[in-house]
Amino acid sequence: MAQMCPDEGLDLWLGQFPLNTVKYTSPLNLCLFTSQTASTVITHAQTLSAITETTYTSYARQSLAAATWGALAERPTNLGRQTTYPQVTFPTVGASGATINGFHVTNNGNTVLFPGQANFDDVTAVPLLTNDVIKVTPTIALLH
Amino acid sequence: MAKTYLCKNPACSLGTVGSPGRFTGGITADQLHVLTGKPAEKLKSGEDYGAGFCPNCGQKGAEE
Repeated sequence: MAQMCPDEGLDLWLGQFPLNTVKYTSPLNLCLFTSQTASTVITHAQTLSAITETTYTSYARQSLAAATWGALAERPTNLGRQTTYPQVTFPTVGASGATINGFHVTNNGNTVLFPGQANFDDVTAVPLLTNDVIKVTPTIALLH
Repeated sequence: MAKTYLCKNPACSLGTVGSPGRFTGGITADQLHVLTGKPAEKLKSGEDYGAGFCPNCGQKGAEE
């Protein structure tokens, strides 16, 4: 599985700590993408504009509210700390489907890829057809 | 992006259960038939299905 917190995302992290020049605003946006591949993501210098968000019928990005993230816990085994969001269900596919290569999370205004983009754990694209439903359970970890 | 709606049905799986999920477009007559068993030919566009009706639970959503 490939994943990437690009330069613009890291700048946002560091802008909050230690610079204290940027304020994180909830909610973030959970999105699905059709660009790149099932096992690749953008490179570090690329930005949100290099990602194609899916447009399958009835699709909409979903909110990730700060208060809904789970309790901070160990990233097994002793790798760092993590938090997991409850399972997020996307709209049932209408007339036209799409092939999904993974998910990405953007800032509140959907202007910056923050914290990043990732393929699915099984590195397999998900072909969505009419009446299909896709569910994603995002986890964010910071490693020691 | 197309107009988005919020499904405020607390039992709906859209988004996270218990909090409003977003969708665009709306459920079709065929999808509502599959979901509820109601005969598709008796369903009315704009009253039972169509833009603004949640594709996951069939309930009327709210414009965002």
